[in-house]
Amino acid sequence: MSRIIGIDLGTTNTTLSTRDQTFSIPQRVDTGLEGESTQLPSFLYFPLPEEGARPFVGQWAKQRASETPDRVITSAKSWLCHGAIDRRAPLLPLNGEQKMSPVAASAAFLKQLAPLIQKGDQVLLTVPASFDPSARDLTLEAATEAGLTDVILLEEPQAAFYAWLHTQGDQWRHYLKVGETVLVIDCGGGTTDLSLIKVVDEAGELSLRRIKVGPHLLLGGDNMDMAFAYRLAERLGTLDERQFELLIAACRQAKERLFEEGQETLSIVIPGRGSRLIGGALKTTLTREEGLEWILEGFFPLVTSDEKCVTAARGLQQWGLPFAEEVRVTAHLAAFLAGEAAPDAILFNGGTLKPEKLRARLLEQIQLFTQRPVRELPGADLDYAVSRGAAYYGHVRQGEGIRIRGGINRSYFVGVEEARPAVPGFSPPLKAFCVAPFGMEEGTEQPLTLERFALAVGAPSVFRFFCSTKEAYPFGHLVKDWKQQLIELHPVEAQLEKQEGDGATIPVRLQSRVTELGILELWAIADDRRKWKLEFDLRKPS
Amino acid sequence: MEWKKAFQAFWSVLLGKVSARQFEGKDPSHLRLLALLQSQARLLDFLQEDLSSYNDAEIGAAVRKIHADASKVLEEHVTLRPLITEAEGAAIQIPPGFDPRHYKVVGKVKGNPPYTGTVIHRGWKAHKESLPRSVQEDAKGIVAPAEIEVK
Repeated sequence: MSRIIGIDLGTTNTTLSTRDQTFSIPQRVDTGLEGESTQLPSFLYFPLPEEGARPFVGQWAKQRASETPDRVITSAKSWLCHGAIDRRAPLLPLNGEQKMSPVAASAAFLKQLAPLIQKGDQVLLTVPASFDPSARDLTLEAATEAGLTDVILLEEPQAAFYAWLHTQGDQWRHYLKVGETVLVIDCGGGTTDLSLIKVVDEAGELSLRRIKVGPHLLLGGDNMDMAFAYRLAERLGTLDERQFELLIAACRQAKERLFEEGQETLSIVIPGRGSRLIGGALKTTLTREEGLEWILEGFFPLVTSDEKCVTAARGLQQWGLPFAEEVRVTAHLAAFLAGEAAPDAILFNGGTLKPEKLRARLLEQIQLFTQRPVRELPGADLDYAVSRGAAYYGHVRQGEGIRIRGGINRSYFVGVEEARPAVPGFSPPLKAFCVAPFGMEEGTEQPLTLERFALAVGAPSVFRFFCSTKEAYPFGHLVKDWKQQLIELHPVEAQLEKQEGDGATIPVRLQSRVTELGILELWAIADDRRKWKLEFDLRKPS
Repeated sequence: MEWKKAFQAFWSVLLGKVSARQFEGKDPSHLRLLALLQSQARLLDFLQEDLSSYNDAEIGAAVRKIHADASKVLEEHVTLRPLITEAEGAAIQIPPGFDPRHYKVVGKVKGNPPYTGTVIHRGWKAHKESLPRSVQEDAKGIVAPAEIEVK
């Protein structure tokens, strides 16, 4: 059976999911070890001749990136959207002996996923909303090179939003309304993307409209680790390149601990590179207060809404990626939101925003800009949202739409015969009586009808059911012209229990209920409180 | 005491042979886990180091990093979770025919099950079925390669 699969081809990690499951991706996890992990680090390593013939991607390549930097391609995705280079030319890694083009490296990451993809699977691949048409085309080119055909591209913020919708189910309506705008702040290891999307109603179904997309900022969690490392390196004296790499890794761990309550002083240790781990270690400390200040005031300071991003006037610079010069995420936010209506809600994405303190600071900043409350869409999955959401969007595209209004998406009717003198050769005309109107919430019931009906008991009888996709019919509405207006569903046959003293029919009033499982229960209630129940499965295709 | 010496020599030869044969004949997966713990958490360097000359603060600072790295390796490749769902301190009844690998019953145990007791430890269960596969030939006991820097 063909599946719908979402792929998040990320700057630092690639993930693959269906809407409900994240897959483990086979990869070289360490020297000579083939394993698997739900994240495929987007790193490509050109091995030494003795280690292998073809490049490796994944965890081991990531490990080698700090050990042999000139043999490893990192951030290929950022090069893919670098307009000033020929992205099909082999130029990565910049100082490398062996090189590959950004497109070929991206294709290598996708090729690594090949064992998980079956023939006939529908693949949705995400790109940053800021990717220009040429970067999108190159992404598709990489997919084709990796053997993926009929790939559909989806923008990452939209994918993250669909993932949130999927986790919320019908509950999303408690947080958002049609016409409201959502600011998606996606802050990953190496990149930050800001985008504004609007929830719109398209023929009763939810759809998203892109309002504004910010530039693809090469600024993320890695910048914070580096900021720590530069400051702490001063306290440690002279470090060689490898020690500095180890310091960055130590800072990454320290950064995570900063946000946990408890310790006021954190030690930063660069283990000795030889077997004397402790004896050869370099050590310094950092207080929680200064560490938090470096992050919050360095990257997330509160600014006013007219704050401009700083750019340095540089003459010459070493050739490389166009890293963001402005490191204040909040200043980028100010520039992005300038002139826009205040967003109604914020959706966070990306592993860097895992600490609650950072999200709280961003919410505070936005409320300061807009002078009105803004909601965080809760329960977002920061690591796997993009690939999962892409898969979910694949289902939405195939007709499993997200309806704007809750409840059942049709009106349901039961057939009621008109009481009139019998005419030979003609069955009495039938009318359709609306028992469950469009939008009736699951788990609710309609009040008892005032009208009474004659219910046949004691003999096999047939109840006919109809439906309409129109919203026009309230509960209790009678449709005479049902052949034109309604669709007939499969009938329900039943023999209702009869008591002594009953006639062939009993006067009853009707009451309907839709259960959480999508069953329409039609209750016939006699004046002596006796009840009969008919069940109709609304989710069963007829 | 000649016979005793001879006996010891005999035993050492026998043991040496047996352990060597086991080592070559079986899947050295224990070494693969150690290799991962060394490569990604430097655990072997730590366990092999003589701690007597360091104070607790020095050891503590190093341990925190090893602990973080090693638990990441365990989570990724072994994925440990408590074996039973009952909380520590909760009352529990152990039925007749229980699996001794599942429960270790201690204390004043008399008669036949069911036994009523208190959960002291919830146990651990690994949720990954296999370690990463080695792609090379048997490395003859190499757990960590020598590291050589080219300047």
